[in-house]
Amino acid sequence: MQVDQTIIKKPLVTERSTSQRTLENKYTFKVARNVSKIQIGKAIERLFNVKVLKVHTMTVKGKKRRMGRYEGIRPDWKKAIVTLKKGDTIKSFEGA
Amino acid sequence: MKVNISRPESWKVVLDIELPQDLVSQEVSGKFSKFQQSVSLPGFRKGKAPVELVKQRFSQQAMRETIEKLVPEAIEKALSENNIKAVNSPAVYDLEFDFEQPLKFKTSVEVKPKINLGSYKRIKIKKKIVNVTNEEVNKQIETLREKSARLVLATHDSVQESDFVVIDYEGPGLDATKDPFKIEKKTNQLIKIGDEGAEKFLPGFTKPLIGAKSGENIDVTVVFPEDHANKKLAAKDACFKVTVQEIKQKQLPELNDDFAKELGLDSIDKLKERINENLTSQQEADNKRSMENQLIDELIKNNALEYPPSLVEQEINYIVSKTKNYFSSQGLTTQQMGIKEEDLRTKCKDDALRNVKTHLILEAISQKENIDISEDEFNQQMQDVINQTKDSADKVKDYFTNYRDTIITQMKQEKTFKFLLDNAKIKDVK
Repeated sequence: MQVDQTIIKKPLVTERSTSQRTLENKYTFKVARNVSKIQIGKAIERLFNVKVLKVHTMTVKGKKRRMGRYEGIRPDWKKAIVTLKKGDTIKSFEGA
Repeated sequence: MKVNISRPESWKVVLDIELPQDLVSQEVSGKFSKFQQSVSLPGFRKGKAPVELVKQRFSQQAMRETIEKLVPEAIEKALSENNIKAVNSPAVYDLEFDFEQPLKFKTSVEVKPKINLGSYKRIKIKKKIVNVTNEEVNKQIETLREKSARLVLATHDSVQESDFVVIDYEGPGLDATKDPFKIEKKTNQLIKIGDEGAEKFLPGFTKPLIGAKSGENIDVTVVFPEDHANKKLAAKDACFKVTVQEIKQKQLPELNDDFAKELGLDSIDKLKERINENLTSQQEADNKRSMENQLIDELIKNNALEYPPSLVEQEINYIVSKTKNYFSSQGLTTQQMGIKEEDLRTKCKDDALRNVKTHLILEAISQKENIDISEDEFNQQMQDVINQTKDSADKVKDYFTNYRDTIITQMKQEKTFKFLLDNAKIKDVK
């Protein structure tokens, strides 16, 4: 079984995620690829002691990269946008 | 801004400065908004990063920049408000900084001490009476003759001591980089008999030529000393086949009006007059310097004073750089001379100390006696310099405007010296 720390890899701080966080209380994370929305929600609740309302996930395709004549591809990864109950916050998020 | 001034030494002022919180937070938030505008953090376009994130990332830098801006400003303001003239750059310590707290720090600067002047009037000094003797004039003339001496064919027919000879010779080339004993032939070489330079290069080369007649062939053997600079030559000997071509001797110009004309003067009497004048002004200048030195000695003796160490340090730097400039203008470096910078510094320490003391005392005297330089005097001085130098008037004017303070200080010192001399007890001595 995967532990919570390996399910949730790291918080994702970007312009978009910051505005979703401040306006809609949605927190974005990079997560392991083989986990379900339910696993993610539970993990977040346990780790940060908050109430999760919704979890949206998506697979982000890795970008093509080229080193001279060799073309490679960056690994795909999974992004999860977690909606929290109004009033709940994740402190460690502010400032990566 | 709260400022607390204390004076632990007569030459040292410590300022305890506290800047209000408002000022600090205003400055800090200004810095942050500046950063927010300009930085691009990963995940954000330039200028779009949230303020909190910027604060977190750049707090160190903001703190540093705030201190760098506020502290010097505050020091400058505090110094000018309290009319403190610093002679060195202020040292800052005990700095306390927090973003939402007043900024506190201490700073210490060195200042010119207040001097309690001892006696400076009626200083006894000795003045040497200027007296140029005929002997001195004649000696000068002899040197001049020596300088414009010509080489002419000798009247005697065999080489004598201190003659010059023109020779051809065959012998080792003495080229240090190649084989030194490769035979070379040289013609029409002028050598002075017993010349020190030649003796050093080829010891005992010239002496055997004494007594030779013109056109005579002589073999000269030179034995190089064991400590000769070129190792290939040391303790070896070399044979030179010398042919004496011409014998020459030095002829001093005759002491008549022609000689004077050559030097750009009408007659020999005029020349003597001119030399007399030069010697007199030279002696007068010497005299002035010696009297000033006597004055300074007395002043330093009569006025015990405390001095800021940084001033002495500055003076040492000044002297050392002047010395170095002098050397480099001669095409030398201190390394070549084998002089260490530290040695030079210790050597000129006493001079520096004396200079600093002199400056301080003279300044105090000029203040007390209200000796000042008026605008007219300044302009007059400028005009004098313009008249004297070859530089263009604009250049001189530029110089005078750029270094106005320094020049005024110098003139003031000059004037104070004059005042002191006028008030001194001068005793004429021979």
